[in-house]
Amino acid sequence: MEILFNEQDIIDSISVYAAERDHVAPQSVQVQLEYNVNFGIAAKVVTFSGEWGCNEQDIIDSIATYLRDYHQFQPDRLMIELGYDEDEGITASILVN
Amino acid sequence: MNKAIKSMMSLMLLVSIMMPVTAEAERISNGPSTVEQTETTDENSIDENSTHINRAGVRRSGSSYRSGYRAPSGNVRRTPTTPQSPNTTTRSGGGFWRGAALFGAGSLFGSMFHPFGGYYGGGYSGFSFMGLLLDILLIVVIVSIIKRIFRRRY
Repeated sequence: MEILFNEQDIIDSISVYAAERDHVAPQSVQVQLEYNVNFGIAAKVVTFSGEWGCNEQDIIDSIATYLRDYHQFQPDRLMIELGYDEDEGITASILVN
Repeated sequence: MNKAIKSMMSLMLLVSIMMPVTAEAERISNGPSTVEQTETTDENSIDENSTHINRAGVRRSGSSYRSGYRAPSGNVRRTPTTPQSPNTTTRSGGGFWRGAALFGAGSLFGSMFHPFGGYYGGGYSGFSFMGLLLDILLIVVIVSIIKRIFRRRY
């Protein structure tokens, strides 16, 4: 099974991940997704606790956490690919084994 | 007449010899432009569809990028943690005070309305067997009254 995440889904995932990490509400987390030709996809997270950056692995972890906590998926059965396209922006494709 | 036929034959032969040359010349004259176009399209297609693999599974082609499928790291535990609600602290505080208020109200109303416990007439003065008998008698009376009520109804 393949699940496709758009930018908003990815931002939600990172918000949940950051909220769990910093012990704040997901609604209070601000996320900015970035695509850099050299570094790939990254995200900047701003919470009450401060500001920190997410690399691709962090984003993948956040998507797995989100799917585990909110949709009862098992993280070890997920394979996640991040993608960037000029039309669609930053997306994620999740394969469930 | 024979001379005319001969001249016609030679003319046709000449035309038949000349025709392929002209066709070839046309093809050659169009040739470079066609080749140029093909080359241009080839260059464009190379630019647009060129794929660079930088890291394991990373595909970068022109304006699109794919990171390649990756598994979550070991930090993501298998067992889900309960998602934190924004007002967890407030809710737990509110839950405590609500519980305390309900407990207080329950103990107040219980002390006001309960029929047992030996408060018959005076204050509570330790355990009394008579008080216990009176409690049992009262329970039996109440149960019998309730039974009678239900018998009347049905």
